[in-house]
Amino acid sequence: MLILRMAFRNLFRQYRRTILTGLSIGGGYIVFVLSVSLVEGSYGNVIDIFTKDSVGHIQIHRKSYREKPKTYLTIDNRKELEELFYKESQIISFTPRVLSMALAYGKEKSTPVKVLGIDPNLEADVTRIKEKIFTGDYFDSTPNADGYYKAMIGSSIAESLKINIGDELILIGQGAEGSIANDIFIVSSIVGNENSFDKMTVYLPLVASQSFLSLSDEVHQYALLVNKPKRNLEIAAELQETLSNLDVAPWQRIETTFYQTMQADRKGNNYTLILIVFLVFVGVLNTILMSVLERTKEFGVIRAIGCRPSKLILLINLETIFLTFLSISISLIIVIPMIYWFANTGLLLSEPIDMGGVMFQHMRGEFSLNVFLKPMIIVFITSFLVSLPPGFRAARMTPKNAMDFN
Amino acid sequence: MLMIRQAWRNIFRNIRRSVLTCTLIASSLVVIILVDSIINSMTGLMVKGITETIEGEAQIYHSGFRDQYDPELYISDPKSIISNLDSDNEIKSYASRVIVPSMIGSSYNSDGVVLYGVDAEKESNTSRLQSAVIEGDYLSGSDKELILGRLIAEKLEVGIGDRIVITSSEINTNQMIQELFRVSGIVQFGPKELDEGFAFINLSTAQRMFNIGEGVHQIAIRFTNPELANSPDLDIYKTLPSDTLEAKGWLALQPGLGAMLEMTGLSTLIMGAILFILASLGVVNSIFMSIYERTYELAVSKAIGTRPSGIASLVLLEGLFLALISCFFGIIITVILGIFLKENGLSLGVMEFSGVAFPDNIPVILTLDQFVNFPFYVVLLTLVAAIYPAIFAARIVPAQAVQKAL
Repeated sequence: MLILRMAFRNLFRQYRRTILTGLSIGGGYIVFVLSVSLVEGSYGNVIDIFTKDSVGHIQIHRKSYREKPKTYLTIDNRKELEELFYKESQIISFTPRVLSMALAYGKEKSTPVKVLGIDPNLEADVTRIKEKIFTGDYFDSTPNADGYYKAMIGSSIAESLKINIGDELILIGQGAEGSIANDIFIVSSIVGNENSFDKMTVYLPLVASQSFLSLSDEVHQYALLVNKPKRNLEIAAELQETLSNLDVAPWQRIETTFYQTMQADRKGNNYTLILIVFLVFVGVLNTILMSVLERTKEFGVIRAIGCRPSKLILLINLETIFLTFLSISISLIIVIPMIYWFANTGLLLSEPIDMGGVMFQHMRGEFSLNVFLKPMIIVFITSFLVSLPPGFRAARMTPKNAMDFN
Repeated sequence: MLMIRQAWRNIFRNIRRSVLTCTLIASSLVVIILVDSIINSMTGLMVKGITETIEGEAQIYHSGFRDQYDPELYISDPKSIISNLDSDNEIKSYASRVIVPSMIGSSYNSDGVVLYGVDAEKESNTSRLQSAVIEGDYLSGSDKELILGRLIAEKLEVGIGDRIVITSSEINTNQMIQELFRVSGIVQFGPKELDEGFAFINLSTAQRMFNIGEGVHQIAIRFTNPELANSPDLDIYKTLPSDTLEAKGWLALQPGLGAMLEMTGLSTLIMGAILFILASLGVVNSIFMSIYERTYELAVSKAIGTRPSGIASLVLLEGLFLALISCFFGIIITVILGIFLKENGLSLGVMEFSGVAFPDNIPVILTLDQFVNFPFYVVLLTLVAAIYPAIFAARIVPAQAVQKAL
């Protein structure tokens, strides 16, 4: 108890030095928290966008489909699979998809497009497709009176083919057996804008896409959402074990380039943080060492009247820990509103940055206990470690030498 | 002269403190030089990746062509532009291209690609196409040649000599056309989008296929001095033969890249500011400590007639020496690290930004101006940091200080 009081009082003996050292610890902590929060938040945000925009947390394909997507490589045991999805509590929603390429014709022009066959009801549970409709209505699987199915098209298709809602769209592609596939569809809505990933995509009702490609009730892909997105790697691995004849891939393996870029960027960020912490604590070490040196005589006296060396180490440790505690407490008052602002508003970059195929535009912060706690623990541990050498130095001196010190 | 000697000796009165303070300043210098080098080499790689791969440093095209890559928007009479380009000695090379999105099919699979009709000889001086050939031969000008990206070739399951059918439509009449080609070469650029989305044929073949006479969609340009590319008063940007044409440098063509460069510039600045604040807190702290220790001494020297300005200069000189010593060692450490990193590169992992793939090891290249500019700033900023303690020392009142010290 006495030691505690002594340590606390010692802090205020040289308040200017304490303030300056506290500022650098606090500054370092703020930079640390901001950086962790922005990295986690920005990536969290962009991952949330693309997983819920199209990719899903986990995708399932027939083996080798992802390397060589061929129309006949389909998943055909759909019933069995969907029962499993319904039973598995970690999967919150799933959607079957048929994928293909085709040449689209409007009234006069043509352009190559991506064809995506979706189940209108299930798809809306996985992706934000319903909210992305720009004009027109979300489609359904029923053909019109003439027997034509509806199609939803990306905005660039509408623009380059100069077609609008209600117009005919002709698709020409290759069916599962290599035959020529062609059909007429009626445009029911235009999806997204010229920046959307699906600006060149034609959405068809699942049944229409199956008949277009002469498939029976087969699909190429299942996209799943899971209840704990951060655990999707483990959930994918578990699913892979049950579905050994299919290919279960978490988004990290679908968007490989983005994932690698993100990991590399994080690594670079960690290097920066290590450097900053290092610099902060070179300064802190300097201060503690000086304060110990100044008090050499005093320590000599304390030792002479019977203080144990271990108590001296404790005293110096406690001084540093108190200082760190004070700096962090004050920094928290500053940094919490900052992080709150970044988490709720954030910075919008003037132009999106293409990161391994994923568009990145919004700098967001993450507001969570972890963001504040992790840097705090690291700063505390470092400050404890840094206070050890000066402590040992003070403890090692014999009272006589210390009192003679000049 | 006396003062300089005094200041120099003062630094060595407490070697441990000076060493720690110098470590702090020197580390900041090392870090900022290395960060600047890494960012420079990354942005250099990125700009080169974009301009040298396909896009060129500037492009001439029909207004609106870049929005949707609408094939109808072509330059119908490029002759006068080309004669201008030929006579402009700021231009190193240029390449005319026909660009039409098309369907590409083999006997196994089909997909959509962007089909480039290129002039074999001009293209080899302008883009990386020729050097990116990893299998087979580059275009020689004969009619049925086609070069494919590596990934699309894998997807179509074709190799050199295999048959490929291009399906598209004639540009002015929109009649469907199909042509047979044989794969003559396979290219690998690196980024996935390029290797899976592009196919190249000869310019004359493309002009005949799409029936556009001499027409081209794009002229990509490389300059003798690449720095010029973004200056708006170049002849080629101002003197276009018709107002339906546009010419722009790469910064205007790639706003995303501009945003990226801006952001990296900003982050170097932030990093620099943080390092400076941390280092200067350390410097202020350390100088203050040395002043406190010498309060008595300074008071005496003031009492015997040293002017306040003299005391302030002494403190500033000490700061200057600390900075100079730090820079000296900082530069030595940077050079050693630089030699190591130049050979080994900095390994962060594979990254891809704006469609440019970065190698696993980013080469760190140090330039002379970094060793002049940054040490200069460090010295200047250390002096700024020393101003506050210097003023404090100058204001010492001898009578009070002598009393306090006793």
